Amino acid sequence: MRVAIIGAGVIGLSTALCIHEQYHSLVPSLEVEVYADRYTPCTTSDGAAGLWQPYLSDHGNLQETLWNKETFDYLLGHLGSPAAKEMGLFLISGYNLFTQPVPEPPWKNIVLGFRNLTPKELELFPGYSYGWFNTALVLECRSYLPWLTNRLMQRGVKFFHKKVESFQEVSGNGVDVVINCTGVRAGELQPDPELQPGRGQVIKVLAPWVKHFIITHDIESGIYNSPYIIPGSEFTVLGGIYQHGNWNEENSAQDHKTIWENCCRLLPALQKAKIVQEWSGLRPARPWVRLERETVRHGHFQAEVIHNYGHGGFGITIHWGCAMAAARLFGNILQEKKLASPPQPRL
Amino acid sequence: MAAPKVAVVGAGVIGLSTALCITETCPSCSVTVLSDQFSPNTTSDIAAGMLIPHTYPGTPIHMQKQWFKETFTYLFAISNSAEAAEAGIHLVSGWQVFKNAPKEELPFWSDVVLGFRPMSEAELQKFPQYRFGQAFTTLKCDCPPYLLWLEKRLKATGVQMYTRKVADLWELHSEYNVVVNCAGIGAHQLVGDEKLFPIRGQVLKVHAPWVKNFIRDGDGLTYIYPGIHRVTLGGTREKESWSLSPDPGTTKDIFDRCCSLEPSLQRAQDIKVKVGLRPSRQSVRLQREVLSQGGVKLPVVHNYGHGAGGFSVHRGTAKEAAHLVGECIAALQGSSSRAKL
Repeated sequence: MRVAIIGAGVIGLSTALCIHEQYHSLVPSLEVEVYADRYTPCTTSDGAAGLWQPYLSDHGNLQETLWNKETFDYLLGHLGSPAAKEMGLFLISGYNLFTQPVPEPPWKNIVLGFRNLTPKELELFPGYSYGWFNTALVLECRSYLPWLTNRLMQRGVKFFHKKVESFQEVSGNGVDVVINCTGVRAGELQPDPELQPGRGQVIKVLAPWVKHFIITHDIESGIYNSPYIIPGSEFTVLGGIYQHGNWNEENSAQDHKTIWENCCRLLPALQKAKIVQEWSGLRPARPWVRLERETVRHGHFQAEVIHNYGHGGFGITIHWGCAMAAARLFGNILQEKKLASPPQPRL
Repeated sequence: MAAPKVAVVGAGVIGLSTALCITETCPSCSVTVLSDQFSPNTTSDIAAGMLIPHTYPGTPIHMQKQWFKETFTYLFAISNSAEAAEAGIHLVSGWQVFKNAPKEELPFWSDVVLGFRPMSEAELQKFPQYRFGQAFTTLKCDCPPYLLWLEKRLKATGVQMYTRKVADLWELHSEYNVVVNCAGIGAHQLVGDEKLFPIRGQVLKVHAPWVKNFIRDGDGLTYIYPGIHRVTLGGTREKESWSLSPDPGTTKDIFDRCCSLEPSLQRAQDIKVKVGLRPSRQSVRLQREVLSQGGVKLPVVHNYGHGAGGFSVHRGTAKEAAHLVGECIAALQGSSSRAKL
């Protein structure tokens, strides 16, 4: 039973690990392979600050809220383990700021210590009259992806550095199940007008005195188009750009100016911070995550494909819940192929 | 009296902040800081500088609260300004956890710090050996940066600073009109205050930049305070111990206790061990005194004995000391004008 995962960002690698962990003992013939044209540190996941935080509303998509919760609880459970630092995982507290009162988010009971901001706290943020405080997690993919890669390599998973041009290319080669974790470029494998790039740009600075995340929101400009500051283990990420439909992965001087001015207004001490790096990436934006099976046929060949892409700006936030869901779909495929059925009694 | 000459003895957080307050309340004064130690070799440099007050049994609570509130307000403004990083002042959130119910549900300072509230059940799960907890956000003064920033501001107003070991306050009577005693633990010898005693504290300063929240055991003995570049792990409270040498057994004990609160600290690097002697007293000695010998008088303002709570109340006590200096000068000017009659 050969399984090929296409894509080596947080979604691809975590799905590969989840599947291997759950099924390698049930299916002795299980062979898992990863195909990708970009590996860490060049994936979209690597550029993300890594803060666990879903969007403000799930638009009634309870499934995604459950996957978010699953991910948070899974990561929280790893906090006390010796692997936490290697995974790039740590707790962090911080602020969400608004110019007017807003409804509480669906994740308010998932994070720790969620509460409204007090008037004195709001004095720190002129221009904002309402906000939340909570403790959440950061998962830095610069560390997490190598950690996942090590776990996978220890398990004998093979990695291939190539750009897959079609499902057939992989399935025609004897692969039984293809897991499509291709993120923003999934449309190249199968057209998907719902999938659009949500271009973001960030500036990484040295500002070790900043111990809280600060996310501002402007209901008019939309998610991520308002300044945010997210401290990492080494650098602090400044951002606040979301451009729907923009495929440009080059840094923009205008966006740099927007981010810098807005973040320095939010935290004046940042003016003294040293800029270390600038990065642009394309969030794989979709009205909802595509996580489903499809039987793809081409001539005589057919392959089972599990799609797991379209996680927008919340890929890290939702990744483990989706990996588990993809693994469940894989389990269904195994049952259908009678590979994971209970052993026959010996007569 | 032209340009009254004021000497401040001591260059820790108390000495420097007192000197600064004197320049603010008495712009005509000529202020000089004298100390045998300057940053990074003061007791203040060892401390984490967390704004979490220590309770002085001999001082009225309302006064301690006033001192803390003034200090917090002052630093809050700096933390919110462009100078925050240079001054070493930053906000930090975290938890104070208790194995047994705390004596008071609401400490006197709970409405001064930000967002003070009991910890939720979910938050307490992270600390399986603890049954109660408080979550809040407070400020931290990182040293040396804060002391260096104070020194810079003092120099900008023309304050001179000299390395000098003052053996006796009286030796300053011919050069200065008023002496301010901010000698910290040094006051034990300098003015022979038997009520002042050291409480030895050993700490580890480690590289663990992923630790963003503070954690403190309500017993005050075990704590994890993330600073700008290092995390301070503590600690000990050894009464009457004058030893400034790090003890290796203590180092291991502190490390183990902190790792038990925050397991990821096992991966901490570059562990530096430091020792400081908290200048402890039942109450902060914040009062005027007049020394006299052979008809010559020397007004003194004492501002020492802040124990474990120096950073938490430094600005409040500095302002009060500056006020007392003002009173001394007014008294001197009054008597000198009487002498003219």
